[in-house]
Amino acid sequence: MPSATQAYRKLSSWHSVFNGAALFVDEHCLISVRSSGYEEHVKRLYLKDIKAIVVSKSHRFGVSRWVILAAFLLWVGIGFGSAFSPFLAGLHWEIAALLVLAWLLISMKASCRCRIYTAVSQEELLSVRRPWSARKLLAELTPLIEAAQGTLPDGWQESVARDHPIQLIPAFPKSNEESIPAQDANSHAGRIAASGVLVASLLLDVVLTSWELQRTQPLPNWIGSALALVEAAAAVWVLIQNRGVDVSLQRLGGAALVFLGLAFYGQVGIAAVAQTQAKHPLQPAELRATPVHRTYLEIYIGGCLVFGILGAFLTLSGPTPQRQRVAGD
Amino acid sequence: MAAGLAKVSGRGLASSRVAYDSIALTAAVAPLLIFPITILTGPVAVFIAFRYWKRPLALMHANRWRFVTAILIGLLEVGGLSWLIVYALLKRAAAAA
Repeated sequence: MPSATQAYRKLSSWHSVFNGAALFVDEHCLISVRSSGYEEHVKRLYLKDIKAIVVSKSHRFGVSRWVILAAFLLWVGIGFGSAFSPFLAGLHWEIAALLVLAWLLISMKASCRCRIYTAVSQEELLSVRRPWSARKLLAELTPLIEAAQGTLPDGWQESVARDHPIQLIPAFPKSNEESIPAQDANSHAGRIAASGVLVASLLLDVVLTSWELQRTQPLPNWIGSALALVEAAAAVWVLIQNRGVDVSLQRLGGAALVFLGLAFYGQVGIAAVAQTQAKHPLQPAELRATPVHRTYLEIYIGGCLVFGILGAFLTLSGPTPQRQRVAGD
Repeated sequence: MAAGLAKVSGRGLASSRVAYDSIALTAAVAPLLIFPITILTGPVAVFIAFRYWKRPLALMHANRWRFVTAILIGLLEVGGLSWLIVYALLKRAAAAA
């Protein structure tokens, strides 16, 4: 039995509004956690006892709380934006319909069920709901299970034909770090690319916004919107690429996303306040000339610069591994 | 033996855990829908947060941000409502005088 102070690593997790599930692994066993309301139940499955992992196609209509939050924020953002842009106002319901269609499509066509069987029990892994997360889980678990149980020797089929007993090749246990698959090398390029796009877009934003601050005429709106879209997409990309690999860049991606969201709502709020205080409807050029808007732009430039420099530094300084948790923490 | 050890220490080997941080946060946030009762639930949230701060967290909760948020919101609720009550009393006293 593992000691109470053993380190474990999260393999997958999923949270709905009230329920959730997660899967952890340590040197000896899988830890399947299910939460319901305020209580969570833990089941341990020893790697040496696992007989089969079965992934089957299935319908999964549950939505995670992060997806609900993202959809809600998108909806609210478009609602705010549509007050200022007729183009967005026209797209409001189309985007909602697209979100519902995407949910139905993923739930019906790209969902699965994953079960783990031992000789005496089975456990459904509720945190594994999509084929890509199942593939990732299998890639991580296979070396660990092989290390715990051994592997079949080459030519084992001949032994079956001759009714000769098959001797499993014992494997030396690997540490968690060693068992991380070789796909890490491939993902390194992806992580660098994601960080590069984020840093470049942030620094480009600094240059463009500073230039705009000096000009009397504003730049076309689509430039700022396109750049903001690239920055947000790059921040999400950084967040995904560095999940469980480089915790510093992962946090930077999250913080950049929050910063961009706050900047968007700040800009909308400033415009709304300025319009209500003005005696006549303000033109974009008049709005840009207000001191509050200039201060907002200066803060925005400073924020982008800090995130850009920090992103470049963290990318160049190499990954910061996630701190392993210890049972009993 | 494992069950007994878990019962005594509440650590490591237990097969279930209670997420006290989520309870504290709910106690702080949910009653905001019926604002006046936060005078009761605010202190309860702060109490739960401090009382169970050292208990092992739920495995799915990586850190104690829910406890911290519950304490902050609970204190704000208590402070805000106390200020409102004092303000109303002082205003009534000034009107009477």
